[in-house]
Amino acid sequence: MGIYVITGASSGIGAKTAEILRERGHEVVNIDLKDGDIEANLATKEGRAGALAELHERYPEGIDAMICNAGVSGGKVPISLIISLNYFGATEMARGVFDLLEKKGGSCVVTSSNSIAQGAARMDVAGMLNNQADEDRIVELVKDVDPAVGHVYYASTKYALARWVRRMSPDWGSRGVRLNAIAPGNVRTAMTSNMLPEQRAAMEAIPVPTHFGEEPLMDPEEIANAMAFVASPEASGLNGVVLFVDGGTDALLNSEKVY
Amino acid sequence: MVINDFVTAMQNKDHEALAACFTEECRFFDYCPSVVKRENSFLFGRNAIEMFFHNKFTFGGYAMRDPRVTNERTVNFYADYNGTIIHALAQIENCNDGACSLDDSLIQELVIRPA
Repeated sequence: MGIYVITGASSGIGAKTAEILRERGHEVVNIDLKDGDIEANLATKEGRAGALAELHERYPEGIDAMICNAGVSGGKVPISLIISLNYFGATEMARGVFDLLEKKGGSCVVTSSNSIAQGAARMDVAGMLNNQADEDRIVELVKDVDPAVGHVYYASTKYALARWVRRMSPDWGSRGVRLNAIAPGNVRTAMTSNMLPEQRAAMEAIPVPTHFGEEPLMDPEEIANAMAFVASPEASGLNGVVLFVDGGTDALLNSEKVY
Repeated sequence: MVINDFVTAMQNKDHEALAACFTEECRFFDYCPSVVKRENSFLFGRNAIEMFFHNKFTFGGYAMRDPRVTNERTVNFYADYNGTIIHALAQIENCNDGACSLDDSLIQELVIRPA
């Protein structure tokens, strides 16, 4: 059985993924702000460094998979948190365990979003993240941006994350470590249960075809099953893939994008 | 006529009424977006039309402006793609009864092309 590390597994998709992996007999390490096996604030460099040091101390022989799932949606939180947690909290944690993954020929999965295909992302922001990647300067640049436009920055970080996977995966794959992204659709979480009526109306206007005429939100388990598979050795042929797990929303809105 | 129901649903931005104009296994093609270097739309099935236009009507991605119904199969209008306007013709290619002029006619295939 393998050692699976997952960030943001105290609730939602991460918790369900951890549950599935444990049921399959794997050792699962949850890194989260609260209720984690390792408690760390992955939106900070110090938090990430501490978590990485702990992992190296616990598993010097390597790990089988790293699932970078921790993230925050936009709307109420500072833009800097979206930038630091969603992008740097994923890419820096993935980079930080590359040596541990390499030892066991493991894999890395990051959680993107199907919102990357819906035109909301700002490509200048995504470009800065991918090409400059200077966290301090980018955070300084957005420090006064109104949190109300957080959904744009959310989509931008998730777009950059998916592109980072595409860029890095050939090299990582050649060194025995697979790197892929999951792009979930709208999922039922604690956050979605408290949506304002206008937020819910907007969410329902991004239909999930497999849920047509039913509950419009996907169950976290639908995403978690795919995440567990992509992280597993059974997915050895997958590398550099951005897998839309959205019940067909992307196909509905972007049917002509086959590649 | 179903062409009038189609136009009314488009103008009201009513995705359910729009879908109700079509047969269950219909086809809806829109070749106008490529005029402005966007992806054309190819929708198969009534449910897909309902879901697609639920999204487009909610987020301002589509509107029918100044429609002129010219016969039971054709409407001349300005297609508004989130502010980008293209002069267009919507043509009903097939209906379930072949006539498209009965009270209960439903659209089997509709194609929107640049006018």
